[in-house]
Amino acid sequence: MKLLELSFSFVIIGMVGFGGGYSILKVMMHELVDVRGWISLDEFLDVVAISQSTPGPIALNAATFVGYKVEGVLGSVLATFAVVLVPFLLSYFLGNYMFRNRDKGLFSGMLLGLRPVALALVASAAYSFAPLILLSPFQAFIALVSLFLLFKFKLDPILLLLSCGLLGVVFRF
Amino acid sequence: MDKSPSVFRIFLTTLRIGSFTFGGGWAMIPLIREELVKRRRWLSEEEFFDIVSIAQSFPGPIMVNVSVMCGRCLLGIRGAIAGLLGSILPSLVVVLIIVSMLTKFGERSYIKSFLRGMRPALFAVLVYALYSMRGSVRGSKVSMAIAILAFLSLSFLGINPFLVIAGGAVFGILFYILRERFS
Repeated sequence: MKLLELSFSFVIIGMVGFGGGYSILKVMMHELVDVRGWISLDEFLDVVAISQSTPGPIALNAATFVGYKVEGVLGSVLATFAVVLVPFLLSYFLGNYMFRNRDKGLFSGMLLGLRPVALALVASAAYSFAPLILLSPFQAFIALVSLFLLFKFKLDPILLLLSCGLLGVVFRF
Repeated sequence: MDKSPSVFRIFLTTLRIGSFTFGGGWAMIPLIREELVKRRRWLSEEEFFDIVSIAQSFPGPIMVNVSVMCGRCLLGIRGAIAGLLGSILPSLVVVLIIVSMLTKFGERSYIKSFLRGMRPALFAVLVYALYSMRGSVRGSKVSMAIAILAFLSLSFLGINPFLVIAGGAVFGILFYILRERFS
């Protein structure tokens, strides 16, 4: 039963991952933490951190992580395949059609409406994370320095994330 | 080097792509291009551009979509499945190892400290991503209004994100149809 719920959740998550990467955070937080309660918000932040420091996109990483938490290795493999099911089917069946016809019509209209929504989703995820991070003065300070390095020096985000991770190990966060 | 595509070669190539694309998002497009267009010469620049632009309009990770479409172009269903497996396998294996270690060693582990240390940077990266997405609302009052409305619904009215996304999609399609009709 749990395997079924797990697959269903991730098939649905896989259907709405538009706009690249971070826009899916809010959706997953809603489904996995608030609705299903499979992981805590604390664990969700771990998932996001893991996804940034390992290969592969975030939805995939989250599926593997949560699947494991719910039903071990079997759950994790199942959830991972579930999350790419719809993207696979669309790419397979529709990709070729669009490649030949170059007719995006309705699709481009849909994206027109989805792009600002993707922005709102990222903003909303940042808004939910803010209190967790900015309440501790030390973490807030690191966040500010990180922002400065990103905006001013265009520091590579991966490098920034990994350095902060090391900082965490050194100071035993 | 024999560059003709076989199921196994498609698998290996997408495995490479899946292994080196950290974080996700647009940043990995040049890497995928390097692999498929430059190294393997399986796609021309133009074909690659088309595939990426189609992949972007579908839901799901770009890397997976591009791998599947490229696999299908080369070898049909077998190529598409090889592309799918290759592109998700590295991520699956690595995260499985991390999550099992995290479960085993728990709160006091170095992994946990490492992940906690990343949090402030994560927040900064999100804000930065937000800033780099600003182009999608710039110069359009309609887009700006959708973004603000969606943000308020998500963060203050507690509306289900799935509904907000569906709303955005439906609005976009209606807007498109109306514009076609009246222009």
